[in-house]
This record gives sequence, structure tokens and C-alpha cells, in this order.
Amino acid sequence: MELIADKINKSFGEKRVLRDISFAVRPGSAFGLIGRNGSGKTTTIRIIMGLFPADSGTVTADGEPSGKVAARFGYLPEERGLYPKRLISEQMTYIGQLRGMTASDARRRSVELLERLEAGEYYKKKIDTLSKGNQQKIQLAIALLNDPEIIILDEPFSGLDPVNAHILKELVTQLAREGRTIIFSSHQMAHVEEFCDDICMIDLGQVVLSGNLREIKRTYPRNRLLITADEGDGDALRRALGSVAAAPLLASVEHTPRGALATLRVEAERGRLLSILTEAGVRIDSFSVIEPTLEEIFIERAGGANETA
Amino acid sequence: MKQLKTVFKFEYLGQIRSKSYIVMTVILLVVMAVGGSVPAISGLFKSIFGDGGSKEPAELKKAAIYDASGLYTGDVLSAFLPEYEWIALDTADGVAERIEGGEFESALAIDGLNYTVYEKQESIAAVAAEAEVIEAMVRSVYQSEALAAEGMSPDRIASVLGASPVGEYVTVGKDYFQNYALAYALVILLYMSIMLYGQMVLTSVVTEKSSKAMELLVTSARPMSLMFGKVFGTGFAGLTQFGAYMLCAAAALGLNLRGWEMMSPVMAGIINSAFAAGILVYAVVFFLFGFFSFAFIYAGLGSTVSRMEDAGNVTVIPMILILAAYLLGISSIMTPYAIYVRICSYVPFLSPMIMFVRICMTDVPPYEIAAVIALNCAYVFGLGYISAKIYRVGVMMYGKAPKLRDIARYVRQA
Repeated sequence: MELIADKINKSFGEKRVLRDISFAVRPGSAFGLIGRNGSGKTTTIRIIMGLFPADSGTVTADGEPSGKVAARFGYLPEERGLYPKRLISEQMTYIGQLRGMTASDARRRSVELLERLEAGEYYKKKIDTLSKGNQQKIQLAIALLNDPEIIILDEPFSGLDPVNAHILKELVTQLAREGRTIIFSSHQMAHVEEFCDDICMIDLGQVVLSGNLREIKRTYPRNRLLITADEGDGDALRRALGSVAAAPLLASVEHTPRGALATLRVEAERGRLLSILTEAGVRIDSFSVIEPTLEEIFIERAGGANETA
Repeated sequence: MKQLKTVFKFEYLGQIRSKSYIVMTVILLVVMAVGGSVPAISGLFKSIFGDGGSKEPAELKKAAIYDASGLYTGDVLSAFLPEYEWIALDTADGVAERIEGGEFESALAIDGLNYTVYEKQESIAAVAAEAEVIEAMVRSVYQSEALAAEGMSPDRIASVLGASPVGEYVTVGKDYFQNYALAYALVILLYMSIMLYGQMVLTSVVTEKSSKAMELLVTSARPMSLMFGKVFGTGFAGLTQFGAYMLCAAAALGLNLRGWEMMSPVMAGIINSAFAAGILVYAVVFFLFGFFSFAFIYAGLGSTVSRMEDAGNVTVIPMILILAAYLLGISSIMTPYAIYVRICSYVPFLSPMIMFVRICMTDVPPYEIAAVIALNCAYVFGLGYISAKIYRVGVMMYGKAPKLRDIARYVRQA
């Protein structure tokens, strides 16, 4: 299912929350919707889910207004919660039925999903007896109950310990392999970077960066290098980088126990620096370009403005 | 429609399976069953422990009498004051001291129409009750003596003085006194039920928001289905409980009707009037109107707050309305024919109680009942529509509790 947001705008009273938000989510891809708190991510998702209409602009899923086909979406809201006093089994059947499943289908699928998330034992328990991580798993199972084609996960990793985060990652990877479209909304950039092919970065209700993550990274200067030398050649590397031949090429050098982080003045001098090092007899172990992390890109693009809400 | 049915079932089962609901229902059913079966229970106790008739006669208390005329014979005294053993005195002097000394408990000195009672004030009720009897005795003896002096035969005197009028009251229309207690009890029951189930709706909506379940729900079902399903589900749970109370009370009172007739004719009259004019059916009808009037307001307003602590801010007005309806309902029992009662019985949120009181206490023409029911139907539908609009926007709002003008904006936005 392909999801396209085209110039969506939304205001609440006097406050303009979204301005001309546009992006496209390719079928079967993992898409990162990123931004600071209050940047407009959740409002965008609510418009996608058809909870309220955009003031202008459209969101379509395979050409149809997304709100009309929202029953085929799976949604893990950021504001998570269930009925504290009801059994998980009852609640999962209830939500399944609300999404158009029969009670028996909902029950069968609930058990199946909980088993897959290693949470089968909680099926007949109340939600408030579970740890936060296990509550999160139940919520995720509910999001996947109706076998959705588009899965929207709003901050899915918050509150998960490393073991549960690993289970979730495996599940998401598998879902992506099955060809489902996954939309991640998060401000935990490491996770988005790990899963997403494409991103859309929103700040103050506007798109500040959008596109394929690899291509975005390639637009950044490739002048930062990580150089490591064979054991025992650390001093040789240090001397070579400080030599008369190499020093003019470098804007900065930061030495590490096994090598150095070097920034070239000019990106194209990469080959020349490598030859200077090899001519100096340094046995190079690795010589690679360091790409900016998504977090660095995020701070650069969205870090300057003040938080609004 | 399917979603509405799903929400209805979930809410209904959730309510009737909750511990508080079960405990409250059982306790009140037991109270009603026991209360309604008082004659049978007291009969049972009598058959086990024996009734008052088979008990040993109470020991007679000692009392003294000083009567200069000699008219107060043992027959006269024991006819009027049978629980005393009488000791005749030659003089009234020193009577008080003898009572203090414990020789007898009380004494009576009579001279014509003048009499003096000597006794220790141990019980105000005893003194007051006996004072009437003593006065009647003294009057009767004086009158008999006076009539005998005029030459009237003792039989004639007995028939003249013993004659008592036989009166009968025929109540035209509804019996005010019998229906007074019934209306009172049912208005209190209506008030409590409407308040209780309205609160249940409010709690249910606010809990969904505060527990953050709402976000998941509104992305799984249409807000309209959620709100109407919730109100109908809770209302039906209330009706189930209310109906169970009515049936239990009706069964307990109905089965014990003969017992009540013997034990308390007033109570039997109340039971009969409750069964007679379909009062219980009206109680259910007006319970539903009352419930929906307030449940929709609560659902709409409850959706606008995020925490239970904030719920008080938005529910002040409906609380005042319920209280006003209750107080007017109670005061209209005293004056069911007053013009203000008639007017208020047409005002939708007041009419569930006030029209109900009018039906209990007076003969309301059927066209008036039909008009009020039609008005209430229209009001409940209109209220449901507006509440649904508030609910649709309210469920998405988090943060501080809204002001009235914010809520008005939600209605325009939806």
C-alpha cells in the first residue's frame, strides 16, 4: 500500500500546527517520521488515521483517502494505555471486533501474536499487573491484530529493555520482509536509522528534510575519516599525520588508542592522504569515510529552533 | 451499527461483572427482599419463639386509690386500667411518702371531677398515655352518676355513653396519603439511580482518557459508536439493576400482601397503589429519560477532561441540575397541584422526577403524559446529538480542563 501526503495543513484555533506537509511512503518500505516533541508528528499521524481532517491537502492510501481505509492500518499510539481492570483477552477481542474481525478470529490472532512476542502467558491477565515493557508488547500485538497493510508505530521503543527491544526489532524486520509498509515516528534516531529507508523530518510543523536516508547522507561532505593502524604502528600513524606532507591537508586530527579521526580540508584529497600514510610506511588497518549519523543531521536541521509545544 | 453493538456489549458486560455492581445489587436485593417480607419473617419468629398471647400475663403493678364517693369499684378501675392491682386508701395524706417508700408505684385521688395522680416520673409516654385513660374514666363515672341521678336506667346510660360514631372517608381520585410515601421513596430511588449511572458513564469516559485507552479506541471505531455504545451499555446495566430492584420489591411485597394487610393497612395501601396505576412502569420510563438526560451530558463533558481530578470542573452544572430536579421533585410531593409543579413537569431535565411525582400523586390526563414523553424523547435525541459532537472533538483533547466557551467551540468544530 502506498501512502502519499500532499500539502497537508492544520491549525488548532490560531495556532498553525502543520504547514504544507508532503511525503510519500513506498509500499513495503520502512519510513521514519521524525521530529522534536511538539513538531507535528502525532497530528500528522492522526490526520493519516482520519481522526480529524486536514484544513487543506490530502492523504491517500493507494489513491483512496487514508481515513476511509484506516481499518486496514495498524496503529501503536504514543499515548499508550488499555483498560486497567479488564482482562487482556477481553480487550484484544474487543478491539479486534471494533476493527471488523469476528470474536473467534480476534481471539485466535491475539494468542498467535502474543506467542510470537513471547507474551502468551499474559493473555488472561490484567494490564496493570504487567511491567511497562510487557504492556508495550500487548499494545504492539493489538496494533497488529487486524493483519494491517500499513503499520504506524509511534515511539515503539520507548520503555523497552534491550531484550524486548531486540524482540520488537526482529518482529519489525520480519514485517518489513513480508512487504508491509511501516511508518516509524520517533525522536530516537538510532532506531530510525537502523530500520528506515526513507525519512521525513518535521520541525515546527514544516518538512525540513525528506527523502532516502542513504542519499541524504551522501549529500553531506565526505571529508571525515576514521583511520586505524596495525598494532604497534600507532605512533607511526601519529607521526605521519603530523608530517609536513600531511598536516596541510587536514583541518583537524583527533587521536584515538588505535588510530585517529581526521577531517580533510578538501574532500578530494582523500587519496593523497592515503598515499602519504602508506609512503610513510604506516601499516593501515582501515581507512574509511565517516558519514554523519541521523542524530547529527537531526540536531543540525531541527536543533536550532525552540520547542513550541 | 456492528461497532455500536460491540461497544454496547463490552460496556454492559464490564459494568455488570464489576465487583462494586455485584456487591451493591446483592446487598440492595437482600434488603428489599427482607424489607418486603417483614410480615412473613415476624410470623416465622412468632412460630419459633411463640407470640405475645402465649406468654405469661405480666405481673400487675401496685397502685392505690382514694375515692371519697365510693364510685370507683374494682370493676370500673380494672376496666379502664387493667394492668394495676388496686389498693383502696382511707386518706390521701402521706401518699407521696408511701410511694417513695415503695409500698405501691402510684396513686390516684378522686373527688368528683377533680383528680390527682401521684407517681414517679419514670416515663413521659406512660404518664401521657394514662392521663387520657384516667380522664376518660373520671368523666365516664361522673356522667353515669349524673345521668343516674336524673333517673336514667343503667342500661340506657351504658348505651348512651357507649355510643360512638362510625365514620367513613371516601377518597376521590388518588389517595394522597398512600401515594405520598410511595412517591417519596421512588423519587429518592430515581435520584440515586440517575446520579449513580450518570457518574458511571462519566467515570468510564474519563478512565478511557486518563488510561490512554482512548487513542487506541478512536483509531479502531467511530467516536459516535463509542459514545452511544457506552451510554446505552451503562444505561442498560443500570436498567438491569433498577429492574431487578423493582421486581424483587414487587415480588417480596406482592407475596406478603396479606401479611401486610394484617400488620399495617397503611403499608398494604401503598403496595396496592404501587401495583395499581402502572406506577412501576412509569418509574422505569422516567428513570430512562432521567438517565439519558444526564448520561449524555456526562459523556460529552467527560470526554473533554483528561484526568478524574478535572472532572469536577465540568460536571458542576449537571450536578446542580440533578440536585434541582431532586429538590423540586421532593417539594412537588407536598404540593402536587401547584402551577409551578405543572410547568416544571414539562421542563425536560426536571420532568423525569416532577412528572413522575404528578403521576403518583394526582390524576394526570393521558395527553399531558404523552406530551411530556414526546418532549423528553426530543430532548434526549437533541442532547445525544450535541454530546456526540463534543465527544468527537473532546476525546482528542489532552491537557488542562476546558472552559465552557472551549466546549462551545468543540460543538462548532465537529
